[in-house]
Parts: sequence; C-alpha cells; structure tokens
Amino acid sequence: MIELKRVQAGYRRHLVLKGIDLTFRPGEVLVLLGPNGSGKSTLLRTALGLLPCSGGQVLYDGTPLSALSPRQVAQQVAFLSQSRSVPNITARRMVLHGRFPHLSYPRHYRPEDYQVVEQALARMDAADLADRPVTELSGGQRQKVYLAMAVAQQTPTILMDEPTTFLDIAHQLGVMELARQLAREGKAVVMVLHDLSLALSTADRLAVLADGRMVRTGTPEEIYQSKILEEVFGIRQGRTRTEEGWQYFCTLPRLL
Amino acid sequence: MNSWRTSCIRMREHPGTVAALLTMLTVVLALLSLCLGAVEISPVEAVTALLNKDAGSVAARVVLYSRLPRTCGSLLAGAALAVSGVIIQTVLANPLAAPHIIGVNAGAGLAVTICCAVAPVTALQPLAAFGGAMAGVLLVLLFAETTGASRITLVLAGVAISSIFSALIDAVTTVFPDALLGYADFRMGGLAGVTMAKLAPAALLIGISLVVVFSLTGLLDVLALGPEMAQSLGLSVRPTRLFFLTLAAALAGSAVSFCGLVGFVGLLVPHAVRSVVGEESRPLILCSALGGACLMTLCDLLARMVAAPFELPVGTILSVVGGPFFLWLLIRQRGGRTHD
Repeated sequence: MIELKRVQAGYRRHLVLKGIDLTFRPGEVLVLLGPNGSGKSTLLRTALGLLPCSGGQVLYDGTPLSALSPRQVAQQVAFLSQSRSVPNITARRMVLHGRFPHLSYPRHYRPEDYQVVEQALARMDAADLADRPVTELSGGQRQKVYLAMAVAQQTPTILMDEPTTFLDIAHQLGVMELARQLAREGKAVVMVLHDLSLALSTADRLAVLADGRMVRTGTPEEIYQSKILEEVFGIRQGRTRTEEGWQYFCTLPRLL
Repeated sequence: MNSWRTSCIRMREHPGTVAALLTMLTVVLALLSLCLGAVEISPVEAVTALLNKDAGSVAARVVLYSRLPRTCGSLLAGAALAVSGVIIQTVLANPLAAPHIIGVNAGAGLAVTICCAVAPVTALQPLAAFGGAMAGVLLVLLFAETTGASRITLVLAGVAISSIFSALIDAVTTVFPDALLGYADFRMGGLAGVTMAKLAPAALLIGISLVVVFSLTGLLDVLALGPEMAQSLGLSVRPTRLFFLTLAAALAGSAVSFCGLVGFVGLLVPHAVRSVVGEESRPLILCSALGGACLMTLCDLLARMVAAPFELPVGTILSVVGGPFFLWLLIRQRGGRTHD
C-alpha cells in the first residue's frame, strides 16, 4: 500500500503539490480529478519517485520511497505516463519491456516473461498487433500496447495518467472495465481522468485536487452530493437514473 | 519507395540475415582492402601471406606491414565509431547527434595532440583519447541536462565545443610543431600511417567496449524509451546514461587515436541500419558495428583509388558522402519548420 503524507513537490522554484495526504488502497479504483495544472500528474510522478518530495514523505508498505531502489519501486508500481515515447520496435517487444523490473543480470528475458506478455496483449485485445512496429499503430492501438505493458509489469499498484486519451468511447469503457478487473484482483488502480462522467460512474473513490491541494476525497456519491466538482471546475453537474445505474453529465452554468 | 519500406519491414523480422549479409560484405571488402592499392596483389597471394606470415616476397611485405594494419584499422575504427554513434543517439535521444558532431572526436583529438606533445608514448594515446572524448561527452551531457536544450540546440552546442577543441589542437600544434607528424592526415582522418603497434592498445579498448555494450543491450533498449519511462521500469537512469556515454567515449576516442578526426560514420551508419533492422539494440549494435566496418573500409578503398597515384584522406570521402546526408537529416528533422 502506498501512502502520501503531507507531500510537497514541484519543479524548480514552483511548488505544485502543497501538503497532500492520500492512500492508494489495494482492490480500489481511485480517480484523481482536478482542473489543468491542479497537480494530478505531478502527484503520480511524485508517488513514483520521478519527482523528489520537497516536504512530507511517500511510504511503500511503511518503507520510505527514498530507501527503495528504482528497481524495487518498479516491482511495486507500474506507470502509464501521459507522454509516451514511440520507439521503432514491435508491440510485443514494447510490452516485453514491462518485464524489465523482474529481470536480474544480464537482463535476458525468460520464457515465462514471453508468456506473461502474450497474456497481457490478449487481455488488451491487442494480440493481433504483436508483430507490428509501434510507430505504425494508430493512437488507440498504441494506447492498448502501453496498457498491456503496464499489465505485464504485474505490480500490486498501477498508476495511469490519462489512459483514455486517443481512445474512442468503446475503448474508453474497455479501459475502465480493465481498471475494475485489476481492482477486483486486489490491485490498487490510480487514474488521472478528465472525463467527470466516466470517473463518477467507474471509480470506487475520487480525490479532487485544486491548486496543488487535496480539496476532498470520497465515494462518487459523496463527491456528487458535496457539489465540490461544480466549485472546482466552474460547471453544473447533473445525473439521471438508468437501468445501469446513475449516468452523470456536466454543463456550463448558463446552459442548465 | 514503398517497395523499399516493405523490404525493410521484412528484413526487420530477420536481423540475423542482415547480420550475415553484412559479415560477408565485411569479409569481401577486407580482402579487397588487402589486395587493392598502388601494388595490386591477388587474393591468393594476400591470403597466403596472412596464413604463412612469411614476409619473404614484396607482396607479402606489403600485405603484412602496410595493408593488414590499415585494413584492421578501418574495420575497427568503422565499428567503433558506428556503435559510438548508436549509443550517443540513444542516450541523448537525439538522432542528429554523433561523435564528431557533439565534440567527442575533437576532444579525443585534442587529448591525442597534447599526449604527442608532452608524452609521445604510442600506448598512452588511446587512453588520452578516451579522456578527451569523455570531456567532450560530459560537456554535452551537462549542457543537455542543465538547459533541457532542443535537438538542434544540442547539435549547435556540440559544434561550438568541437570548434573550441579544434582551436586548441591548432594552438598545441603551433607551440609544438613536431607533436603531430602527418597533421593534415590527422585533421582530415586517415589510415595511411596506421601500424600494428599503434593499433594494438586501441584495438584492446575497442574490443572490450564492444563486448560490454553488446552484453548490456537490454539496458540500452529501456533507456531508449526515454528517461521517465526508463526510470518507471526500474532503471537508474543517470548512472546508466553516464556508463553508456563512457563506453561511447572509449570507442570513439580509441578510433580517433589511430585514424584521426574521421567524421560521419557515427551518423550515417546508425541511421541506415536502423531503417533496416529497427531500433532493438541487439541487432542494431551488431549490424551497426558490421556496417561501420564496411563503410570505413569501402571509403578507405575509394580514398586509395579515386585519385591514384595520390591518396586522399578517408575523412574526405566520408565528408563528401556524410555532409549531404546530414543536411538531409536536418531538413527532415525540422520538417520545414523554423523551430525545433
């Protein structure tokens, strides 16, 4: 379990996170919400050690992040970054990199690594892309490959920064279903999303950030009832009951 | 164009075939390098001289004392500079970077010049060159990390660093005119003066570096994904980058120590090989080493034959080929835009 305690972090002299307390719980889909620049991606990068804390601390099962090597961290957390490189290698090779944290010297992939990769590709419905160069895939296909790579890393926690980018609505729902499945397997899934409707209808818990501070955390129902999203985003929220449960929507204030 | 792309994609699935073809080409070019020149020697005579090591005949003496060191030099320098180029481009995530462009070769050249002026011991030259190349690498790395420079800016910084090192080479050779005999050959890059004694220490350093690089291609693959993704996969990015740049400096510096400031091998070969075998490091490194050896040997052959009986420095031929390629690469990188 990963815990952030009064975490402060930022870039050079610009402090972005201002005392964040948050826990990534196993078996739960946690969605981070907030306007652009509120510190969602910075929070993920700090939790992973890509950005150093200037205050507070990040604990991995009680151990300070600073006491862990990058390899130990990578065995605990998989990260789907917002900006992803597009190397001229096959999708299978790309997904295989997800096994890197589990290799010891001389870092040669083992038969079981290839097996995990095939399973991850199949799970992401990307088995047919395995032999194609990543450079030749569409944005949505690439996204599937990156997700397969995160799945192949087989970590107890998965951090995803805007995983539904480039995906059509069917695949967006597919990603959210994958997140639910991973959570049911006992993993902690933490996602940054911009789609409030998708977040409210899928997450187990929401964390709302504004200006680098944690404004509120709670279940989708608690967040909806608190109207904190209206305050933070400057929108009006609404919902209708359907056979599948609540469907959420947002509009600009003057339109409702 | 499409058929070329299709062929490349097919070849990518069979990197072993590409490596085998390049190996055969390397052997053929090496044999030609032993046979062709001012004195023409038949392949049978050349092979006999190599096997018997009997320097009785004129042909055997030419092969053993002139052509063999030169051929070994071209093969080693080509392989070393090409692999150095692959590493530098991967670590700096900059396809425009190459040892001669970012000041690595010039740094090595300066160190060799100082070594020749102060302590003219042949065995020390590769080590001095390694030190000079490392200074060039560290300057560029420092510049890239502190400024977050764009690709083009990094190349311009490299050109500036190269100019400073070149000016210092001129200053040293002015103060110590006897420091570099065959100064023009050194500045242009040439293999005419290569001897086995000069080659041996550099060959040792190149051999060790190539083995280490080849055994750690898995790390280079992950590094190629970018620093953030590499670290999230458990790689200690900064030490790994520095380690590979050290190997790149050892390779380029060793080559410069015996063949001078040869340019463009580290730029041309990685790009050509990448378009055929893709970016997976293991086949890329192997095929680049073979491709670099082929290119250097071919250019050395041309240097001997184009203006016979005169001999051009091999660097001249490489610049004629590599210059336009670099311009094409710049245009392609900028895509017609004015900003990177």
